[in-house]
Amino acid sequence: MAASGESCVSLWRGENDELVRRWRRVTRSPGPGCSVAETAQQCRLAFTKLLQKIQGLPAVLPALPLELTILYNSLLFDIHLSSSSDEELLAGIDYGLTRVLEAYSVPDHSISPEGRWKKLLQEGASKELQAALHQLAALQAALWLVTNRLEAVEDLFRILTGAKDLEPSPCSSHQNELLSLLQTWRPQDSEEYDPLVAQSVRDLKEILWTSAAFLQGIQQLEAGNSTAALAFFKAAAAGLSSKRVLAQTFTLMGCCNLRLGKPQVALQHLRRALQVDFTFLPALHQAALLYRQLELLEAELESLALLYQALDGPMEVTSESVDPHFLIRIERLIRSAQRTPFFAQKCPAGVKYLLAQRCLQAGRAGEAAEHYLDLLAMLQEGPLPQVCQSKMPVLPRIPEVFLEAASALEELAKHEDALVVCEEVVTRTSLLVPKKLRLGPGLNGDEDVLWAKSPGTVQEQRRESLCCILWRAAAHVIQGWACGRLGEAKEAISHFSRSLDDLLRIHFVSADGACNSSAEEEWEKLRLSEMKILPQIRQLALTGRGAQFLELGRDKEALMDFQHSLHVCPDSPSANWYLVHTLWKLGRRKEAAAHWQKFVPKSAPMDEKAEGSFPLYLQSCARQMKFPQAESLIKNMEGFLGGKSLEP
Amino acid sequence: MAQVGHRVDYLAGFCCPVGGLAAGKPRVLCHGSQIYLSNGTEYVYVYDQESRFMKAIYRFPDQVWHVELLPIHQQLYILCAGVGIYCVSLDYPSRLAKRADGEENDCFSCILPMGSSACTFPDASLCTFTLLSDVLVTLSQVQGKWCMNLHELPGPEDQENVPRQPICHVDITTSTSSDGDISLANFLPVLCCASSPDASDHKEDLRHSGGFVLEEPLFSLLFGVDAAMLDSPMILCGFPDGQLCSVPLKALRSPDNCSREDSPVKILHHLEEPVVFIGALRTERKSLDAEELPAYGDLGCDCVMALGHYGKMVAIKAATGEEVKVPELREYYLQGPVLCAACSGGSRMYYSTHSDIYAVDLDSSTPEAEKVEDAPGTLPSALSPASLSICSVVALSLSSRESEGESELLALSAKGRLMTCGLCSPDDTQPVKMNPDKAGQRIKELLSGIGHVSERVSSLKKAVDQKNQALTCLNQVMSVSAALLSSQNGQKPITCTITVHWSHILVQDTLTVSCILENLSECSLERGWTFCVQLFAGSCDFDEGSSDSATTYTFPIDQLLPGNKTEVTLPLGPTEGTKLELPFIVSCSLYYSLQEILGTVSESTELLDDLFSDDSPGLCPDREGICLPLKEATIDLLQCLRLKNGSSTSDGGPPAAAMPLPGDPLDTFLKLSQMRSDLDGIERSDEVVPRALNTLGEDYLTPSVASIKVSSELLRTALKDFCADVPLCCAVLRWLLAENVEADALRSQERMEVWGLAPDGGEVQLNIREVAVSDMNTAGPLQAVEIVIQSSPLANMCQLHHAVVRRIQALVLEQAAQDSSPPDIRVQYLQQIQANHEMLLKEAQSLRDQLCLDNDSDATVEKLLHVYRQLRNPSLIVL
Repeated sequence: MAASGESCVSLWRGENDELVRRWRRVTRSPGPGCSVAETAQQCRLAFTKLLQKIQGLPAVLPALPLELTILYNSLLFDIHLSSSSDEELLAGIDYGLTRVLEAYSVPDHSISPEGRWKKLLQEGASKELQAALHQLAALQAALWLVTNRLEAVEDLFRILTGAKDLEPSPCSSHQNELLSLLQTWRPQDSEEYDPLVAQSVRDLKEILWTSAAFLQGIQQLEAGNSTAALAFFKAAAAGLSSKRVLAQTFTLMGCCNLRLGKPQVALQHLRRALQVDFTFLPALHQAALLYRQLELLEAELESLALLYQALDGPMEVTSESVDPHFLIRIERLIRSAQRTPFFAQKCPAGVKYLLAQRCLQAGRAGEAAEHYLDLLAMLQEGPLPQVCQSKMPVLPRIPEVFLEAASALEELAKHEDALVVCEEVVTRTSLLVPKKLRLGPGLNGDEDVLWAKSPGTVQEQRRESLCCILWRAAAHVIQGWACGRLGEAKEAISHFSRSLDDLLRIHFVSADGACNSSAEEEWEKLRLSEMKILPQIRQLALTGRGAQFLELGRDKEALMDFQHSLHVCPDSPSANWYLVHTLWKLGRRKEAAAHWQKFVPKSAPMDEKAEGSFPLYLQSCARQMKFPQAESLIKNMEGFLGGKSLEP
Repeated sequence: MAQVGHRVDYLAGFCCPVGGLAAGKPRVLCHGSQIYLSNGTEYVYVYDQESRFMKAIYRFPDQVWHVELLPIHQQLYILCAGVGIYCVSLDYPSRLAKRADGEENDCFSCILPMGSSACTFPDASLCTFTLLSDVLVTLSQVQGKWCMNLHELPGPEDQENVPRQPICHVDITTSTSSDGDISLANFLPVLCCASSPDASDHKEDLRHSGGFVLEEPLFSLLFGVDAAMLDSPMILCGFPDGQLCSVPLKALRSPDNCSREDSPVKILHHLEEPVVFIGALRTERKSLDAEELPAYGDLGCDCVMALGHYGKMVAIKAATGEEVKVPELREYYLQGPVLCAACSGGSRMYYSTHSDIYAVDLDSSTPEAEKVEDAPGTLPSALSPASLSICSVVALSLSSRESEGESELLALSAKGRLMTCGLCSPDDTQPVKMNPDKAGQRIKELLSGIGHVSERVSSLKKAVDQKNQALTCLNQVMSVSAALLSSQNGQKPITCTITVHWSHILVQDTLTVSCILENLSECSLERGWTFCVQLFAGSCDFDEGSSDSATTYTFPIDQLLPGNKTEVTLPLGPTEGTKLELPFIVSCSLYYSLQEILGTVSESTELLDDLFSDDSPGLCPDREGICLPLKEATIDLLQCLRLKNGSSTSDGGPPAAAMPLPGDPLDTFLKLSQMRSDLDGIERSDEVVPRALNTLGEDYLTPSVASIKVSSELLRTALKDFCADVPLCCAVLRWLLAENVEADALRSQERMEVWGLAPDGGEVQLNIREVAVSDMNTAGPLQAVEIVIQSSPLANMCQLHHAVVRRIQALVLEQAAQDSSPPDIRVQYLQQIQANHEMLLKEAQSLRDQLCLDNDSDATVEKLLHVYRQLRNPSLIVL
């Protein structure tokens, strides 16, 4: 029995060494017939089979070091090829440990793998086994890192290094203890007579160190502890890692610095990140955000444009210079960190929109219009699946994009185009605009709602209907102003009237007492967002229509509109200007003067602010609403008031 | 609704497993004259309808779950369970030509095997998929979560370098994951694509993969303004739990979810039963001359419908509401279970159940459906399905050969027959003039009609047979129950005899209970009956309620004809560590599970479906059944005694080697040897009784004795049968051991004493002698029989005493019923005895208290035992 056991062990050993040698040979010089990937697949299968053979027999002490090494090799390939889930891999390690305990005939009462490690390493496995156990422990730590179980890793290394629990670590921080433990951990080098391994545990240790630092940095960053995070990332940047991970580390360092109020340093870091790996686009995005914060518009737009260009083209990834025989790479270990918002992959449409929006906000109408048109073309005719995976909303609602595009065109004085774009919004939303929409805090009525299942759905439907009304009204307003600028006063008036009609569809219902709190809450939310726009549109429509009436010389109607407009929004400077102007034109000079005196003192600073409060797609209209003949009116008024003051 | 005219034509038969094809997985697709068919096995067939010739057969590694056709690329996509999706190019003629060179056109010789390596999109977790012109949408289930993946489709040329990674993926959560409910596991989700009217470049393709074009305003209402403005195709998913939801392919955010989690998935409805079909209908004709348009013309659909397995159908249409614009949604209940369904693109939907195919028309402009108060554009309030009289169709599809002016339904029956069913409206079916050509056609039609009817008949007959069988079963069960219940007191027609005996099993002697079930009734016990034996352990007292520790053994009965009997035996070996506790109660009963009635019928699930078509999906009577108690018997020590032959006396020590139940042998040995040494000790010195003797020796050395006196007269009258030719004592012994199988040997001898071994090895002796009791009766001494029970272990003595007393008790009760007059008794004497006993009881009580205080316990125990001994000999007599 013993003799056959010996020969078995040497047989297995031979098989193991042969496989590892083959892997090394192929990775050193990948020949034509044997690609690295294929060989890895074959090796994985061969190792799995070998392991099955060994584990089919009861565990015996002399065969254990070899068995553990083969388990290590097999797991290396498994992890490399991601052929098994992390749970399966962990179970594999755990089974290996149980077999060791079995061989020592230690009663295995501890259920957790942590307990098993403790028992094995503290209660003394034999010396021959130590090297193999340390190898396996490195894999265990790697897998725990993948699942972000840093405490477990720390405990494991405490046992591995034999450190006392109470020993004060030099780097006082609790988290840094893991790094120092990793540093002091000395896995045994494989000796000549040991079975061969596909990746040395020494390499693994380096990777473990870097990823431990990286992951802890992310933890700190997420906890809002930027200084500590920065220290960890510094450590991670110093360790062995790949270009991509280094770029990620630098990007995160940039983010930390930005949070710490050091934008220039942050910029340096982001620049380094891009130097290391120019295909790591989140760094570019972070740079754009940074420029925005620094109010460097030019640079921001440039980086956004670069980002879009990179996203639009085929995805490039910097090839790694790491040896292909590195079976376990650092990317695999820090996979859990890839979901941080800092690395959120932007979709091209989102970036395009950001570009367009920034241009429009900055008043670069030409560029903005171009970007908007590109975006719309992309969305409507682009390749099919465009579901964006980013968590953050990258695009506003599509009608708003259309309206913003129209607004950009309008700025550019491409009135016809703006009219067409708005018409699209009008026809599409018309399908969903109800004849009457009742809104109010006490409204949860599902009377004539066939679809309604839950109050939440009804509220959402109401909100959606409200949005449609507002969009259509806004589209009409933009059309009205566009027509006005084209000199088609009658057309313009009809657009403005339609807009006002739309707004009249909204009926406000007061609370009837029986309202529940969720409806109330919903109403409150509504009032803060959509309802804010309602008076703005009404004001724009009324003022616009009044201005057109003035053009046509229908001054009385104009006066009425301006008065209504002021009723909606008493502080609106333009409406006040127009009102005074109309009164003056109608010859009601005293009234004009009285009104003039009321609003003039506070009008000047209000102008800019009021414009900013409009939604982006209405800002161009808001600008157009500005009273054009202000100077002559001022002259008139001052003359009149001066004369009046002289008179008595 | 008018009867839909039809003409059935059989095309081909395909292999089908025993019990027929299951619904859900078979698919029939049609393009031009080619029919692509999968019948839920691992084969996919390509059949030419015109030449009636099998063009190709593909064989896959596992069951084929779904097939889709992509005509623009001439590709067939096949989902193989547990492997992934294959993409097969349809230029098989060239391939076939290559293969069929040598041999004759034997179509079955050219099965094209598809290995796992040929799989284009390998993914074992895939459940279903659908195709757009350049996108493959797959749905897989990973750890109870649904996951939708979008892949770019490979062109017809570049099959090799397919991007394997999905370009996009969306998680969809349903309220219940289907691994929780096993009944849902058989159902696959349903996918289809809805396209907006402005963006459908490939309407034909869309239709081939079950998709449709939805008209405005329904599209906007259902999927929101964003999807409509982007002309985004929408993927509709129907899940086994009934959830119906939509996923946009273009809109980056769905309108409704801005406040909730950022998932593009929008839940449209919940059907609460597995969704088997999603389709769309055109319920309103555009104008009067729209009749002339082909069925699949440029008109989009204005109504989306989804059908559940149990017959619930939901139709969604744009409503003309005043206030908030919402789609109108109406639920209908059709007769289920629905196996498959198809939509014509017109206003008709066809669905198949086990018994028939029905056509449902949602046309809002037909006069039948029109209600006075219904505004135009609303859905009918009720549906009237029209029968096509084709049963058990598991896959349906509408043939695209509508160029001939009529549409055709392509169907695959559960028996694997492929048929076409011409659909023409009733006004088309005018009688035509016969000419030879048409007559031939007509005959053909009639013949196929006959074949079709015969298939339908055989299916219905099978269902009827099975129902009959179930009724027969039920009838038998009822007659057995009636027979047993009606003879509650008299002789039962089905009897059960319970005996106990020793048998030699596996080197050991084991006590065995055997129950003989005898069927004396006129009906036989068929399969489905179960014979239950329950053992209630250790109910020493006669309380009924103490049946807490019962063990039940069940024996299914295969068939027990009238007059036959069957025997079951249960070994009663002491289970690990526990001693056999005597007495125990054996209770026998017959049990019939009602599940069995269903079970005999429901070997094929479809017929069970038919039986319960009104649907109780949760029909699962767990333990419900009929239970008929037969007999209950108490087993005590007298029945379990192993008797020793010969007039053994107390000359030897207890024969340890013969102990039938192996305790720990070492333990026994130690006990015995210690006992011996103790004995020696006693002999040598007159010490106080040593401790060991107190605890152990009591059992072995001084046998406990108990005696019961029974009046001879009483016994003589009671045991008339026993004392025919033997003395009374002998008869008493026989009576006591009447139920002991081993006592048969005694019958031949006249014995008054017997030695035996209890199951746990204790030695027991029974002595019967006649005595005269003088003090009792005023009339003089009373003849009595004294039963002396002697046993070295106290426990056995008690068990035996209990057993004897139980019998005498029964006997006395029986005699009391016959009202015999007792002789005169000296009351004074009785009183004295009672007083004595009360004193003894008091003493025992005080001794017990003392024992609790633990003062000088040895002596106390000794005294207590003595008192008990006195108590056991009451010098009373049972009269």
